[in-house]
Amino acid sequence: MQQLKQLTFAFMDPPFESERTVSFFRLLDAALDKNADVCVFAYEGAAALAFAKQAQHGNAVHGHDLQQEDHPLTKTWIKALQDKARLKGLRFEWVNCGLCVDERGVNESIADCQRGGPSDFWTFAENAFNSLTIGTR
Amino acid sequence: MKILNVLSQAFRTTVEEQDETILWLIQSMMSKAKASSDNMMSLLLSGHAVYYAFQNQTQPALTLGDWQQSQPANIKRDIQQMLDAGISIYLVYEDLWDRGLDMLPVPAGIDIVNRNEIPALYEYADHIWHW
Repeated sequence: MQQLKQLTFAFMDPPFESERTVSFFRLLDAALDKNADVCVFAYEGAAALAFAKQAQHGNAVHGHDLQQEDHPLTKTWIKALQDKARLKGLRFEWVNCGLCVDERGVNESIADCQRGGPSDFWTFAENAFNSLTIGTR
Repeated sequence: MKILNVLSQAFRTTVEEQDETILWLIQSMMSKAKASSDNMMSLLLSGHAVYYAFQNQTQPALTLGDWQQSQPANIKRDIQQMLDAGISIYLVYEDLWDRGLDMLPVPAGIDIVNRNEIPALYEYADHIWHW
């Protein structure tokens, strides 16, 4: 059954390679702003977005140490959206393609990100008002 | 649920994955898609992806040093498996023409559509997954 307030997303880009990644996260944020439940299927490179071992670094060109640089991490963005959804009483589900995680060695995801597969994406879409896929280019 | 997959990118990571990742994804969802007669899975090949309809052999196996790939992608097999599974596959004529492929015989089961027919395909689908 379609739920008017659920939106489903599939994303394929890896972290730190494309401006599409930022646009994708802004769309998720905007969907939560509009009180939509959000379901994400992270396919291929996107399976690394929630990798728990992502680490900040300093930036000598900026003259910044690790704290000063405060480098963005996609795992932190996911956590921020999880927290935002929780505060608003909304659903925020994140499923990584399990095979994609395995082949990249990014098995350790942050909390509340699940391992799954294409059938999860189908189910997300089946229950959503609409779905958006963003492939790699 | 009626799904129209639109694939315009071609040969993305087919060597590393030994698959065309979207053709693999579609086939991986077929058990769900077949769960109800109301479901429909279709594929519109546009842009460079129209080449997929004319693949006649497996992708060349990669060799690096002593390492040799043993299971290169087989797009021809995947296309045939998808047709056998009842997936409708369409090619955009203008994209064939742009690439000099418009005179090649189209494999049985694959339909050609003109660009001006694409809106009707989109309107028939519940979800459009543009990869």
